[in-house]
Amino acid sequence: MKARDMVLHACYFLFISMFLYAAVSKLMTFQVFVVQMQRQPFSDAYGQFLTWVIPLVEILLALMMTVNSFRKLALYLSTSLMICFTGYIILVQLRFYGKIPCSCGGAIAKLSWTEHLLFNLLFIAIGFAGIYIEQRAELLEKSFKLAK
Amino acid sequence: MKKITLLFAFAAVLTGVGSAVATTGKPSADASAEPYRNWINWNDELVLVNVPKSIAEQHCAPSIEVCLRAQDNVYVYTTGYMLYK
Repeated sequence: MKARDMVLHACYFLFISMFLYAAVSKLMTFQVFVVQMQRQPFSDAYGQFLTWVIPLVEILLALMMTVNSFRKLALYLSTSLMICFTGYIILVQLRFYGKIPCSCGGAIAKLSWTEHLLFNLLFIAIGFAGIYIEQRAELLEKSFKLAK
Repeated sequence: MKKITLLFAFAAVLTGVGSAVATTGKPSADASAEPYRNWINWNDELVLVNVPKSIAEQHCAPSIEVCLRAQDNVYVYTTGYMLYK
């Protein structure tokens, strides 16, 4: 196996395990998650909607990454989702919404907002690395086919 | 190649779900060794009686705020928001 493939597998591995960890720990302490979401600066209806949608989207993206034909799309969506989360964290850090708790699950909930920001930035970097490798592989494959 | 991809995916699913199940919502393993205390809120109202810190923590949603304080020791407290009023 090439080093490029190993790095790509590592990217998918980290995303799948992180999303499943986050989703399962949210669902396991669902009551806590509901309270955390109620304290976010969203309307009640939107907050309730997100309470279900966030863990489900995390599980869906993780599962999509396990299937070869969907994993590239899932990588794009996951990186976009992480960028959205990070944008929200930056707004929280800037006290745009006042003081609010993190609505994350498991050990991630123990991180401060700054640590959480760094954690998300790391995953955005992993996402971009994965996208770059996927695109390069696609280009190589195309040029290989043309050469044939 | 496909087999390796599947193997990685399977390992990732196991790691994610396994670590979440293993670490979430459970009192720490040494809960039995923790001292049992009464816990009060910021209005000095008694909230929990005779429970260890790991259990008291479960009544608070994660946040940096002080949530519950031990009645007998000002240096012992949990962080977060009270889940139940």
